[in-house]
Amino acid sequence: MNGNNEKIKPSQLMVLFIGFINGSVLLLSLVDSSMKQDTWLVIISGYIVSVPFILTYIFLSKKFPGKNLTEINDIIFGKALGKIISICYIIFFILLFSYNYRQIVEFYSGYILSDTPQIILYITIALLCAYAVKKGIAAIAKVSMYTVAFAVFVVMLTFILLIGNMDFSNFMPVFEATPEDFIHSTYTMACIPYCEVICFLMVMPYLSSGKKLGRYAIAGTGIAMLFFLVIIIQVTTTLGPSSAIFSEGSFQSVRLIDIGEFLTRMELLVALGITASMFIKISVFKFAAVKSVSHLLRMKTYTPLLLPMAAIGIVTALIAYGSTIENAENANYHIVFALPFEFIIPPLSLLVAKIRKLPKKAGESVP
Amino acid sequence: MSPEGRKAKKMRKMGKKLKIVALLLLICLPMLMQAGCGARELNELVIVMGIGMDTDTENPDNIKLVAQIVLPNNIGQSSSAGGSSGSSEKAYCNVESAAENTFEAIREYTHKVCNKLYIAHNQVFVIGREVAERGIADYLDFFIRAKETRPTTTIVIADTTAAEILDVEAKMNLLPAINVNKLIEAQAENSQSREINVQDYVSTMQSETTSFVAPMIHILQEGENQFLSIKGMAVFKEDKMTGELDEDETRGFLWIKGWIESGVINITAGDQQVATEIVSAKTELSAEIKDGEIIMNIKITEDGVIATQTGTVNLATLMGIGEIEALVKEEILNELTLALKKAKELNADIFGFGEVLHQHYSKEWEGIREDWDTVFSKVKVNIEIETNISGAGIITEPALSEE
Amino acid sequence: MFGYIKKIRRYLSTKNQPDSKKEPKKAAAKLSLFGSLDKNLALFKEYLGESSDVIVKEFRLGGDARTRGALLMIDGLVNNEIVDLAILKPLMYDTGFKLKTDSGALDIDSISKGFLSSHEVNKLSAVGEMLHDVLSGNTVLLVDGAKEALSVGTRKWEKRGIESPQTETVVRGPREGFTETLRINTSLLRRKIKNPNLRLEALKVGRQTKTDVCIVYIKDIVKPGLVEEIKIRMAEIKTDSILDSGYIEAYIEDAPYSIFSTVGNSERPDTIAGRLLEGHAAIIVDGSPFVLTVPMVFIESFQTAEDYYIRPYYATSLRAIRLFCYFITILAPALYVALTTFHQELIPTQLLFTMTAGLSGVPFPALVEALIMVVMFDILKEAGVRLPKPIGSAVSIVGALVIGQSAVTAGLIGPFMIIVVSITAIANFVVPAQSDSISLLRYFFLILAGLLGGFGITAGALFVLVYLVSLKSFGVQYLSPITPLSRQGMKDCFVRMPLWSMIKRPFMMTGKNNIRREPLDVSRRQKGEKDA
Repeated sequence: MNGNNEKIKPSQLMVLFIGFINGSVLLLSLVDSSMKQDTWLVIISGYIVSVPFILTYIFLSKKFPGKNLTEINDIIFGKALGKIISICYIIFFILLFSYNYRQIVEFYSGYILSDTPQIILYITIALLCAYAVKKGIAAIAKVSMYTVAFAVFVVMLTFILLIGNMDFSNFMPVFEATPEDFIHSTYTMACIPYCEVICFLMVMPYLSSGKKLGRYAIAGTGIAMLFFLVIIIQVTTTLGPSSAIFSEGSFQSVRLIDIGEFLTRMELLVALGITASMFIKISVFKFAAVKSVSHLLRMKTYTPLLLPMAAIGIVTALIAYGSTIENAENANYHIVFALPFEFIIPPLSLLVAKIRKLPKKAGESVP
Repeated sequence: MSPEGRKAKKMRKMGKKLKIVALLLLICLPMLMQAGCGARELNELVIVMGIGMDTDTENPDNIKLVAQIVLPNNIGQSSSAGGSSGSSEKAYCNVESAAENTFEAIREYTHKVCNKLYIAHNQVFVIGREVAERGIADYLDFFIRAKETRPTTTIVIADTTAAEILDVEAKMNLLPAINVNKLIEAQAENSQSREINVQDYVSTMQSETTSFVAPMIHILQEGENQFLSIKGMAVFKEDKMTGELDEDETRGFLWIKGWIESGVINITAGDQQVATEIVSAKTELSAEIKDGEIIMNIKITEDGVIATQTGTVNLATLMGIGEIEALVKEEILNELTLALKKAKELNADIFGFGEVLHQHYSKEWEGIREDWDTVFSKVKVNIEIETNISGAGIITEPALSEE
Repeated sequence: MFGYIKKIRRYLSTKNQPDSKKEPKKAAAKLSLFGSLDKNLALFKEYLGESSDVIVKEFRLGGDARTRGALLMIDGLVNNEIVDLAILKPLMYDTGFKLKTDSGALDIDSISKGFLSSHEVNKLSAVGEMLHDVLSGNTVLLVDGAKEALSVGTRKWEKRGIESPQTETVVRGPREGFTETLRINTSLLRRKIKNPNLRLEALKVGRQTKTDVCIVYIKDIVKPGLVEEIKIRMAEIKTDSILDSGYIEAYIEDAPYSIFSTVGNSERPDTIAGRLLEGHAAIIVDGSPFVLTVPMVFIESFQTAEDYYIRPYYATSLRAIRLFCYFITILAPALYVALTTFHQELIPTQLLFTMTAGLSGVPFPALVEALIMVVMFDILKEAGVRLPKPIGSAVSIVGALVIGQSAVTAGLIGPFMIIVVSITAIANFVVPAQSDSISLLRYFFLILAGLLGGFGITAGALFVLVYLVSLKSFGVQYLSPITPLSRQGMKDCFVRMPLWSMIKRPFMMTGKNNIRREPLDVSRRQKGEKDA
């Protein structure tokens, strides 16, 4: 399958960024419940906080062109420590994509297909993502163009249809949340949607050219932030204070559309948009996990790993939490767990690389 | 390659293919068996159009639900049979069920009805007076939590019991529940009541200070026929109904909220009466805290046309219009005063003054909000009204006029 | 044990076969002629057998009336007049030529250059070539004493005239269609493109049928490397027969297991000429009126030749309708099943009542109902094609009235299903080029919808999307010009921008020579100014 080795253009990477971050749209309702009408602030502040970290990732990959995360770890930290860190990252990626499995299947179970046994939804999503990863990251990048277009279309359409229901006074009073809540939510936003792009470090080797990479990455994240903003504006203005108690605000606000008695209950469109976005996110995580494992085990291609990885993901997702409520609570623990991977190790790697003056030029031996 | 080698290679390739096929089958077959689980066929659905809540006479702690279930097969029949009752069958069926809480009551239906109730197309919640006075939050909780409910379902409070309301035969539409729903929507034309839906309920309940209001529905008996009538609104404190607003008070309430769409304003100028139609209205509500006193500034701008006048003197002149505008202003002021008085009497902040204060003076709000019950009655209101008559129909003077 | 016995028996039986059976046919291509006419004729008789349409005409050449000659031809494939007037007459009656060269050997060149009044004469020495020529309708002239033969072009056979193409009709545009004869097809293309760069490369494919195949391309416009790639793939075809261009398509396509075809075809010369001008290459197969074009992209199935002859706004709306119909025909039954079984809340309330009332007597779940109807539709379609004309109208009556109406009255199917299937059927024929993939996709989505509702349709759509995105046709991505995004390509994708604005050829196809038009300044024309 030649698709495994195809290159991605930087503009395609930007679209992949957008598609990937869009997949975290289910998180917004979580932040909404603590921040209420100030959620839009958190979206922007989360973005600002995460920009320097994303730049760190970009610098890392520019410093070691053509190398993915596991290789970089090997070079910077030496063989033994590097492998340990890589293994930690692998566990991180696997946990992330099983977490996302759980999110999307629970979303469907809770809202749309409640009587279908969950295992079938798991299997369908897992197989679909495994198939996409098998076709290669280039295929995922191309598909993300379509999913982003579809998601943007859905958001725009529902926004326009809901303009009649919007009440902008719901944004007042501003800055009502306590500083602790604010910092906590900003950190959550930075950690979960924006900085999960750490896994793109596994994708970087596939880029056709590293020029303007930083620009594209930041622009992509920025566009995703705008996307979130539009959704939050829609939710806050239509639902007002009740957006805090609904577990999925964007869904509920779309239920308010009632035009001419026949254009009602369009939340299925929102569900489809969410599915398409999460598909990209899960596929990229799976790709990162599978690629790093295959690199660690020195395999030529990662195809044999796909199905086992999918199975591990499903099982992990099933046993991880007992209920939806635990799942929601988990966000609080997850952000602590992600702290080293997203915020500590990459800058540390950059620092160590600078100190050790890596990468050594060609001809010198790498320790 | 030798023939044996070639054959072996073929066998291996076939083996691989068989493995893939077997794997796919193993995955797909169980899925096929189970996957259709969530499916419900259309003809199995028990479609509910209206849900009524009453107290259970036998067991006062229970809630009694009345569900109006559609019989789709009869819908074609009743419409073709015209209005004659008797030979044609009804297109709906009101079924009751009582239990300790709403979910149990809904599930109790499975003892009597072929399947679970399908409430995704529910048009209206009719809440009987007794239940409203007892408190509706406990009973509406199930519906808000359920994923099938539409947030645009309207809530209406029945003057007597919900079961009676849902039994009144619909003349214009097929089903009583649809009739009620359309009736509620029509209130925009007289602005003496208003459509309130589940989403409004949830939003209002989130606020600590605002009181929930819902339209009230009565049954009128005109000779042989029964008609439904929606007039006025019910006022709730927390979730219990504590009072009512009549038509004028409701109008005043709607003025302040800015929810006026259309309606009639009657004025008397000397011995003539003029009825004006409200074309559009805008309200600006803002709060001010001056010297420890809370002042609400209400500015109302209204646009109307002369719909009819009595008498022979033409009032649609420049001078006459000025007079009329002043008189309309008085009338509006009157309605506002009535509404404010009633609200203070019931000590219910139906206008959302508290929330306006919250939005603009959040620091002071923190201190006040727990005492809002006492503070509310002391709130001063500044009213500024601007009226305008922009037209008088297609005639310039009455058909029978002086001169 | 039995296997061992069988093996032994087989070995013994092959051992006893006479050797003569094994040798002759293999070396035909390499054999050359004998010097003597009789031996040559005997050789040919051996190869061609005693078929009744093989004509061997022996005669004496003029001149010294002593040299014998023979004509070899197949009746029905040759133009009898030409054979008689252009070959036999001059050879038999002209007395002036000298057959022998100065050295005494027979000079067959002198015949071809001096005495045959035919413009197509080839000198052949290999028997295989001569056989091929005879079987293609040429006449082979053997002369006693010459080791080479002359092959004269005398092809004529009954063929279908140039008719309007059956599968692609237009309202406005040329009405010529390709026929089964290779030469006529190439002539149609030559008439469209009078460019010396239009090259034709001939091949023979198929061991038994030895079909003539022609690769057509425009030299400086064609995608670089494409023609070489085609030739490599054609060389890999080792099969007995090529009966139609579909065979070639199956052998050279990029994704043999795919349900989407990656090789385009058309019956119209203007379509093929248009594609040649965009950088495609065409493959004409003798015996088939369908000419293949490579590479093919998805959007080509939605472009018809007529699009470019009518006005741009109308063409754009037609494109939009075609794309819309494509989605409808794939998704309509699936959406119906998904909505009625899983997502009833999306159906407007009033419609819900009528649908429920309509479905009240139907025993099947919606999925089964839909499957029955879709299968029924496919059966009707197939029957309509296969039935002889006199009975054709009966099928439409049976289909519409009996199956549609009566099935509903009998309570087998709900009335909505009939509407959905009719819409699907009509939409199916708006995009005929994708018919093969449409039917399969329809079943795929239908089953997914029946199992998992809206989620199933989304998952299926994503699956198909991932598949399409990684599909390539001769190096060009199947979903160009959307992926990768190409501004020039998008001018002809969902919309059809005016002709004067499509200045460059699609990037994926061509190399450097990619300007096809000079930009036209239309604004001046609108103001009424005269062109400079």
